[in-house]
Amino acid sequence: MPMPITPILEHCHQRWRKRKIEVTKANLERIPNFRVEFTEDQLVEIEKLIDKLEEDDDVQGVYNETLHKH
Amino acid sequence: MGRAFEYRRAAKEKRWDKMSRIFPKLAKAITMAAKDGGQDPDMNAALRTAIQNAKAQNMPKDNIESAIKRASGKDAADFTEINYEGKGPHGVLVFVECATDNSTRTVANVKSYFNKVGGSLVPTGSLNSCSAESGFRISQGVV
Repeated sequence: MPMPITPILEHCHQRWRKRKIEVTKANLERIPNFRVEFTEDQLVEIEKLIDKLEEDDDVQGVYNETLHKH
Repeated sequence: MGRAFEYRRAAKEKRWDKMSRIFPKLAKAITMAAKDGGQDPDMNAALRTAIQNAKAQNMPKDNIESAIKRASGKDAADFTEINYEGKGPHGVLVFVECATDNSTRTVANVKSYFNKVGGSLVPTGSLNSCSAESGFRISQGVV
């Protein structure tokens, strides 16, 4: 995912480097303000769509509002 | 949430890691970052982060280097970032982040995925409930 690295994130990185904490992943994510609950059967269908989207080479990230974290 | 679902999902994700399905996406992130802010990771924080993320997924060094080189090549593809918003089955709202060199193809593909499951794309800006947030994960803390 391409990300605009904010000065805050850069500041954090410097601090972590100083403390020898190794960062293995840093990225921007879209977090929904509201989570919606779905039944398991519904989730399976939703999952199919998300899988399809994620498989596409042009797609860098998929975010949704289900309670389960994808 | 059901446990069977969680379990299946976890198994799937593990498999994906092995399939290295994410390498092209990571490479694209690197190429875009290198094009944006220069090819020196010491001067380009976005590139540094992109490389870090790729390394964390065990992407081979050669792949990373060629991804950086691709930013300066003559045939360097011009990637643009586009976001699509859509409604999936059961009214689930989905936010799709794309980086593409051919937006006509991308929009057609994304649209078809939604249509196949009885969903549709919604006008950009409809999904106010999805807010951009930054997140860090320290998956390996060596103190």
